[in-house]
Amino acid sequence: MGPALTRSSVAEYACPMRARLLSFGLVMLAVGACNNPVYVNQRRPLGTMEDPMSMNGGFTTDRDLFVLPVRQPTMEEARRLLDEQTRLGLMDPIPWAAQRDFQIQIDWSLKNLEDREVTATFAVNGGTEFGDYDPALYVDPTVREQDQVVPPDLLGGTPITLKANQTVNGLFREDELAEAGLDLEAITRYPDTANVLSTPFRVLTRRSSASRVGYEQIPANDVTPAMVRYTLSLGADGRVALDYGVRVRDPNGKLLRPLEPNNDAGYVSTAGTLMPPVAPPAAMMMPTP
Amino acid sequence: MSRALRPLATLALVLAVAAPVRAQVITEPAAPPFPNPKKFARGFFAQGEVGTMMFFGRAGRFAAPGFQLGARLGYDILRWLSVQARVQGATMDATLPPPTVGQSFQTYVYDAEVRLSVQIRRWQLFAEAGAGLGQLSSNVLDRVQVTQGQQLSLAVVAGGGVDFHTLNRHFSLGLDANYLYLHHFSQTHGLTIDAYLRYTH
Repeated sequence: MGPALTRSSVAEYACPMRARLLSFGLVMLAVGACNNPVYVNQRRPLGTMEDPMSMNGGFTTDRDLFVLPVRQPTMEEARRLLDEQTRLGLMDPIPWAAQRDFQIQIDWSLKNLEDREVTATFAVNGGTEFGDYDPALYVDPTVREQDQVVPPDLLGGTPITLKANQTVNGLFREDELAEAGLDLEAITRYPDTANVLSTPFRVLTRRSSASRVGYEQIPANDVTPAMVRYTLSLGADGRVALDYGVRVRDPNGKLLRPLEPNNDAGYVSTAGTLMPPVAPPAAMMMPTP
Repeated sequence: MSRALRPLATLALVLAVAAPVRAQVITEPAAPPFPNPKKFARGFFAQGEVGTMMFFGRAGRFAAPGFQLGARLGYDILRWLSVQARVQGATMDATLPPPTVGQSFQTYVYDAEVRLSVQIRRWQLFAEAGAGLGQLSSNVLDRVQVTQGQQLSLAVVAGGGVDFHTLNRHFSLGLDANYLYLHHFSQTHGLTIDAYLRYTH
């Protein structure tokens, strides 16, 4: 026969249980409230136009840099990052804007402004808070010109055929941005030191979930930085216009308010280019901005 | 009988026959109405609601009508006067121009209300009005200037409906329609329509 169920024994059980349920409810409310997406508007629409310098009716490529507005860490937060780096035994700093802090999606809409079929190319490169990836810098200058190959873009870059006045909508999903962040980590901080130029070809032609080729140098307990700098480029053989928007889930409250991209008060550099910690040889010859 | 007493006897006989007869009740009093509204529970009540919320005007162009859940807690001060607090939340699809497509958001309204009612047998007609806070779960409507960075707004609610009492003295069912005004969301107008189940303690 079990012990008698007394009022005090019920209270002993009920009070902590009530507190747990209340805590659970509050946590769920907080998680639900913090996991709502935030929409950051584009800096400006991108568009191609006729190139006045071109002899054969070419069109200019439009480029713009979008930097996610990330707030500065407090002293306490900066100290915790250093503590975590020590605890994990990492040589390189832990990112403040990490993948664990942001889930990012880029929505875009491309419109053909011509009365004829146009082929357009929309690509996104960029970087993390530590440095950028610029495909042009990873071309091997020591090989013959006709053998030089530009590595792939981080996102996009596939030609899109648009019928007359057609609009195409698309997006780069959260998992694609996460993959791009991991690729950036391999390219800009942990490339194959014997051949820095080969890393983009290795990681950008494979999904990290299918193959770990190119990621071998990344420490096992590394904290992956988020891709927070976006160099958008739009090219076409006619007049096209592109609108985009960035959707961010920010569970740790690291976005800077108001939500204006390329905010100089933010944590991430808004410089036109950001040299990576392990730069390709071609970058060494570039003047410092 | 002597000749002299004969008229007196006749008169006595006539009076005896003509005496009034006492009235006798042969029908029962009318039964009280069933169910008796006076026996319906009154006091603290809780109400669960399910319905729809829709916006009109500028916000209506960029937000599709959405599914709504709500709850009310209140107290019947008098048979015809109640005060109540309400929480309602609706999930709505944002119908923005590209590139922001396929997004949804939630609208929450937290308000305090006064309710006036008239009971007609098992039916009750009521009107209610109140004010509180409206909240959007994201800034998705910033792009179309319905909101400008803020996600909280003054909310004003007014409406009415009809309530039908079950044979259980605690439970009633009803339909409820409310006009919704969200001042800081570009003075958005909206409508909520709900069916509800109410328990009065």
